Amino acid sequence: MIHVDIRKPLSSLCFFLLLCIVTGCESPTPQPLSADEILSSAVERTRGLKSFHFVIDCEGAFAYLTEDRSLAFGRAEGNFYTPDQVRATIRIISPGMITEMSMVALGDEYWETDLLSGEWRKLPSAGFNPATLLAPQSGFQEILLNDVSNLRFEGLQELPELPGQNLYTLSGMLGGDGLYSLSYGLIGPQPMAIRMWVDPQTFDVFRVQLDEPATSAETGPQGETTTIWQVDFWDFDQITPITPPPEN
Amino acid sequence: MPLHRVSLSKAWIIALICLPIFLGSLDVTVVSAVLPHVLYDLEIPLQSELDTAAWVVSGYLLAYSVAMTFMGALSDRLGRRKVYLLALAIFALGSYLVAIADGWPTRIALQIAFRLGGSRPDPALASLWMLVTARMVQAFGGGAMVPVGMAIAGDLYAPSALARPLGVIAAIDTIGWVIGHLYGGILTRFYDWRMIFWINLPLCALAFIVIFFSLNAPELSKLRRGALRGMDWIGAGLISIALLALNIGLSRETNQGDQLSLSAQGYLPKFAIVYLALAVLFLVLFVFRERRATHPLIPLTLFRRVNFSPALLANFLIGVSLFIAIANVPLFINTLVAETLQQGAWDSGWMLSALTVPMALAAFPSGWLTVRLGYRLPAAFGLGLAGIGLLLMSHWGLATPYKQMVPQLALTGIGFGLTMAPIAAAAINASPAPQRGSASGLVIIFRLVGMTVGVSALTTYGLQRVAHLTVMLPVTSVDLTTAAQNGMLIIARVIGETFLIAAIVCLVAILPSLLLKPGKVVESLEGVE
Repeated sequence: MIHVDIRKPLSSLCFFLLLCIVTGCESPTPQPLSADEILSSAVERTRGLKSFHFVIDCEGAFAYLTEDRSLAFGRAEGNFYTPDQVRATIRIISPGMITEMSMVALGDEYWETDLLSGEWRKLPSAGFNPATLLAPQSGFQEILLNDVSNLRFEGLQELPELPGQNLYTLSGMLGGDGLYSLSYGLIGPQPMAIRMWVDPQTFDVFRVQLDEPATSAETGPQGETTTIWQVDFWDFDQITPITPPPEN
Repeated sequence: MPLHRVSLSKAWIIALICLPIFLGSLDVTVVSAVLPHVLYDLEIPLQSELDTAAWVVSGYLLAYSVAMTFMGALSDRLGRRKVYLLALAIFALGSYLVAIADGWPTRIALQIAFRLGGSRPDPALASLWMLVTARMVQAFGGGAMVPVGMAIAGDLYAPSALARPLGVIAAIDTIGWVIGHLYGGILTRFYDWRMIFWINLPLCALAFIVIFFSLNAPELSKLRRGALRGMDWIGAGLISIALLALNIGLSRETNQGDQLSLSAQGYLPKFAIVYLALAVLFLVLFVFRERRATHPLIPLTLFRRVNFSPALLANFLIGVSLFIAIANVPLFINTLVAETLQQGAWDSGWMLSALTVPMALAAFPSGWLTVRLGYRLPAAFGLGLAGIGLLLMSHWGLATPYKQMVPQLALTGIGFGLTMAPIAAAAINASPAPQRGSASGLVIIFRLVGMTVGVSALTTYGLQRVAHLTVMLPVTSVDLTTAAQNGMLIIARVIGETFLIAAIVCLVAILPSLLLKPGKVVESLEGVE
């Protein structure tokens, strides 16, 4: 056992420097937690959030928005403000063309832009609404707590979008039933692999990735048999309340 | 001055330098038929990013034109061989970057954005901008090869025999962009669109090696002492900024993320006025600079010569009108007729040939007619025919069959073809012999600038009109099928309107063509275009 006399500052400093060299000057690693503890803390943190920016990206096999399989989900990016305000731009894949529309949901009120002109129009709310999926008390967070099994801690990893920041990485299996009803049938109902990247200090969830096996009718443009959903979050508590769009 | 130490025959050297020039000009129009396919592949939303996507075409035209203005003068100083090979290498590099634009270049651009600003750009848009940048690199090399190739011809041939090789180079350049869309459509039918650009690499490598070892006469490799100091870099910078500002001013940017309605922005956004004013300012500064420069990039005295200015003005308007047709036929077919993207590229390529092949064929009798009738009559007659053809095309609708489109496209093509020789010959014959190289270059540059203006203005007008007409529709529910049907009707109407605009521009071009005075027509210039 090495004994350090703290009354000798110079010796202490030398020891500290030596320790730094030996350990590679790493910042102190947070106290190791179990995968379940990390997930609980992450969900708790998310429930306390007032707002965040998000991107839902869909790659691989198509995730169809309509029953006739003429429109598929591509990507959604926008802001969420608790409890049920969302403003997002949604990219839609149709045969031969990619289109984009914006939407605003404030509680039960719903607006979206015309696909051609971009003009805002108030419509009765219908179909997939990111607000339902993201709502802290009833949305995705609850599913994370209740429907994830075989949760494992995979170690610390960096995301390309957050260089120099090591994040807790968790993996497991997600039962798809809850997500299926929450997403209006867009995701699920079959079980899928899940990975999460969580900030070790704040427990902010930066990314959730779902690998959803596709049915034979849903294969992607290159014959992909898995739909990869990547949901990114950032700008936590930095979003101002969402206002109704200018109607025409 | 004839060169005796060139190891190859003059004709062989001209043929050799024409291959890369042909590749460069093919790529001017190669994406016009396959652009919808490319955008789909990159997941670019058409209705909000079409103006950015138009830069894939207009950016190429812009960089091609800019390179043409000063790379010939640079080769006067650094040596033809060196500058030609540099241009070829830049073209090959650009082709490679286009082929892999959505691969590592996009990943690197995203990494830089993550590390610098902490921002998270949309990967699809990042890949589109990488594609535009790569296309501009490619175009700079492709455009530079034209004036340097012409200058090589000027070194090889005596002035009295120069017209024919210059005509061949100009013709190769024109044939390239005339068939580029068909070439793109055919390749995309069987391969991935990237193959269009991958295929340039072995051809460029082969041309590079052969030219490196063949074009080794000292006269083509000379480097003048203090060469770069004598170059009019300021003039080159001024004209580049003027053309860039013009192009940006004519483009339209939506407020990404907020997706403001187009009609709310008005028909001429404020930023457009600023950029257009900047374009005028830098053009004036360029003229001011050129009048005082010891070695001007463009001999402005040419514009005072009889027939020169009216010919170039007519050529500019022809460029505007012609490119509206070249850009809109694929848009019409891809959006309203074809069932798949491959089918759209294939059909667009062939249907555009109904315009461009008659145009190329009509260029031959137009030379003969020019020699016998002078410049004015064939040019005005051709513009009249093209105008009528475009007028007929403005009535195309969702039910218009291909067999009805073909004769109208052919009529338009024949009309444009008839204008080629009289316009080019009027400009070149108006120039003194030592400046005919510059005059040939200016003929091409004015057409290209006209095309650039055409594609930018067309995109802006088209998007604004679509927005305006859509707002007129009654508010419907989220019935996407009805929305798509309404959208197709609106797009068909707007494309018809742009054909009408092209017809009007064509008819306006008759005015400067009527100002062309009868002059001595040199028969050897028949094949200039």
